[in-house]
Amino acid sequence: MSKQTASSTIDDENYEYGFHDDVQPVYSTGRGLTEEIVRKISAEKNEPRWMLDYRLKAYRTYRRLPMPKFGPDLSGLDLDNMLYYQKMTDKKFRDWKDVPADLKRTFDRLGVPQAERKYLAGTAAQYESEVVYHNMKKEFAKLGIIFTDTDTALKEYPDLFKKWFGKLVQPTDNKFAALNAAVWSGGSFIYVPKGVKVKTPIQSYFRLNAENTGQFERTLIIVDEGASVDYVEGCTAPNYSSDSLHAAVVEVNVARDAYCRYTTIQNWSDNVYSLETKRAAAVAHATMEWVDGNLGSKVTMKYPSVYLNGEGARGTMLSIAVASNGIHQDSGARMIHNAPDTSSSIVSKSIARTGGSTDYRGTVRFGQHADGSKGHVECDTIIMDDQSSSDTIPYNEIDNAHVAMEHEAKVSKISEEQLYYLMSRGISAAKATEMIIMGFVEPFTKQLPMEYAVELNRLISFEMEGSIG
Amino acid sequence: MMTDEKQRRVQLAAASRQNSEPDTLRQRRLRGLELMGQLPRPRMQRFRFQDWPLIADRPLNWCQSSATNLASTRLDEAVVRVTQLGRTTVSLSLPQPLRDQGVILTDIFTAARDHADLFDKYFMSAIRADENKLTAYHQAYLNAGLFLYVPKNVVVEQPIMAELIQDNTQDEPLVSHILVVADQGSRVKFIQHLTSIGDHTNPANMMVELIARDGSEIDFSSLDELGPTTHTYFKRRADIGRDAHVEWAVGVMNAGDTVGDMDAELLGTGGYANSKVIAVTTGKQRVGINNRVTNRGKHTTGLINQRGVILEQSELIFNGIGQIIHGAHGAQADQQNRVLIMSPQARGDANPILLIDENDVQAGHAASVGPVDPQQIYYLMSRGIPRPQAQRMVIRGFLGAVLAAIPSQDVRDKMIDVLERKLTDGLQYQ
Repeated sequence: MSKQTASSTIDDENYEYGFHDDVQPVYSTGRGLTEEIVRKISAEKNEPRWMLDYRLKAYRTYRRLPMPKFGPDLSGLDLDNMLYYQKMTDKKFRDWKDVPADLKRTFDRLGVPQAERKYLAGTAAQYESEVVYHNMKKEFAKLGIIFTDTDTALKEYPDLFKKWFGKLVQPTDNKFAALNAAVWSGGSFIYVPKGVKVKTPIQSYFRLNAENTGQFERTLIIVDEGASVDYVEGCTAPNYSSDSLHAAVVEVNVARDAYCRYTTIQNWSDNVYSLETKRAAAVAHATMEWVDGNLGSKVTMKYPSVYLNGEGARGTMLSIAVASNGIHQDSGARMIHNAPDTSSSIVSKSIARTGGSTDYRGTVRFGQHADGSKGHVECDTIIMDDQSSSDTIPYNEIDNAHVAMEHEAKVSKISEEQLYYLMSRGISAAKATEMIIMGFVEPFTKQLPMEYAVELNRLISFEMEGSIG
Repeated sequence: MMTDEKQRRVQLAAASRQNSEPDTLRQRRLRGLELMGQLPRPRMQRFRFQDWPLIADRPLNWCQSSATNLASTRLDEAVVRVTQLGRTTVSLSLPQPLRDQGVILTDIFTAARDHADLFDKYFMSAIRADENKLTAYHQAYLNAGLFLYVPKNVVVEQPIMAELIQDNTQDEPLVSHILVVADQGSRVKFIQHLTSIGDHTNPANMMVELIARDGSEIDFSSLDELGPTTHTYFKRRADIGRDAHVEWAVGVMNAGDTVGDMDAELLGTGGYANSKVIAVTTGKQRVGINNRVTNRGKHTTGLINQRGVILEQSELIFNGIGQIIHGAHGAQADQQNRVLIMSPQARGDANPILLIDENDVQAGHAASVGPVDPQQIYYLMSRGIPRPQAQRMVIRGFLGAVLAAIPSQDVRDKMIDVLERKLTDGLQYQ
């Protein structure tokens, strides 16, 4: 039976996924992190020697690297008190009927199986450290698409795995990339063969359940020549009085003429530090699109990048961030133009309210070989009240005379003109505010699959409740 | 080390006495020296200049400079002219009507002696000695500069024009301080023209403080044209009171490596600052400029407009920083950072940064980096204008917003001359 543990969970009426199920792991490395624990994780997973070596080397890098010198305050993050690895079941399942009842209940409440039936090509569900459910509909599996959890991929596709793993994000990149490399577990592995186009989205769902849990998802996507894929991930966690950590590493390789869209709807509860490293490389005429919604977490630091390494490659970022009291969203994008005639676009929308902070931090760089490339950046922020704040910190680095770069940003409160206009039509202040916010985020929501757009609109309207005094 | 430090103190105090400085200034110098030993050098986002020789390890001295060989100054009715060569004031005269109204224009050391109340109150009040090693160095080794005071409600119609010439005929740094105090309701235009003679390698540490008291207006223009052997660190800061108005119009046309800060602090309600900077870089020159406007008071307006042209193998970094402090209701901040890159080896950044802690605001920024618009060039060429000239015309149009804001025709023409020369040289190979 699941029951509420009154001691540490917090009732938050504004966060509907804050429930918590009392489930015992079948294996846990306990609190804190040592070299011994890294060895234990690798042994528990029965990994080849090279992966253990990779983990140990990354662990030493993690110990050596300093905390980030910019951005939000991370001093509250208690890394010694985290649970770095917790396995909930001994098996992974391909049918919801086989998933242990208490885990299934969680995903039922989150609506994951229903969504799969209705409109997804494949679904994965990760609970704490391990993926517990993984399935792809037959018609898609037949096309030769590989969609599995990353641990299984290491065992079943060792060559493909070794060829791509860790190529875009090195452990030396930053402290949390090193931590992930040392203790990674779970995440999705997707390979789409040449010319195969998957129109229906594939989804992974990440759930943190216990208190002080670290989740170190490792996702690796390879979209081969001329192929296309649409990947969606969602994240939730219970509300606790003490903190959890999600430090993912995501690597996306987009081959010639291929297309990848990677959508994240991050809705962690406000006790989760979300410190992510997401990077994509796009070669000739490939397209990489990040769609990134940051609605939850306590602190987010996430700057997905696209390395535009081939002629005519295209990279885009479309993001929204909403931060309310106690939340600091520090996010943005990096577009690195390394080849001729590449293009990039960043559109960032953010809303800060009831004392929240939303920052945009990004880089657009044009290298020596980026002749004829173009970049466009647009950052719009609404600050809803006088306790909230927003910083916009873009870097535009140009090493090439034959490029064009445009950058624009606006920060303001809700337009009073628009508000009065709506209110003069008999609409209440609260409803009018909501309408204006919905209009503001529309460029984002209209890019989402219908069901997600509906869900996101609902979440935002939920977030906005009570924002007008 | 210890004796070195002690020796420096003794030397500095002696040089200060030799210059008949009041005790307060001498104490400030010694304090600056002390801070130099404790503080780090300033840093700038995306720009490294840690190894530049920005501090001359030379004692402060007042021996004869080469000031005598300077051409005689022009008498001009339209402007009030003051000339300094190195640390020597060559000419300075303030028309009698302005004197009668209480306007003070002196070299900085005379101000320290004869106008101690004003000097002590405002000198290093906007820029502080304890900000970094170079501001501490400034306070310790100050060797040139001017003081201008405009009393309450006095309107000075003629621009005050300062020719500041760095003396690179010898090994000597230029550590210069311009202090402008515009008292309540007064108005003044100040223009400085920085040049250098000689070819010795020297640092220039150039500071400007503008104190715009309530309801005053200061137009400050600067044409920076220091030579290729000068490493420049400049810091220009305005403290802007209630309903006061400050216009910066700065052309950074130095031939040598330059790093600088522009700062406008909007302290009082209704204050206004418009910070316009153009920069043209050539050769292997490296230039980094922070342009910051901080809205602290309610209903303040802070504007930044930066335009840069990067030629040959040079590098130019523009950081525009618009900050709105919590409580600055109704503040407006807007910035434009635009850069033209004219050669494959050139590199540049236009980083428009907004730091907003208040919701009742309008803040925006825009940045662009790119080559000259080919359509504009073709249009002009189709009218029979040769390409190099067409290119120069487009660039001049691009820089026009700042050029047009310079109040003196004379300086404007000079700036255009420098610009033409730089563009002609820098675009030659194309």
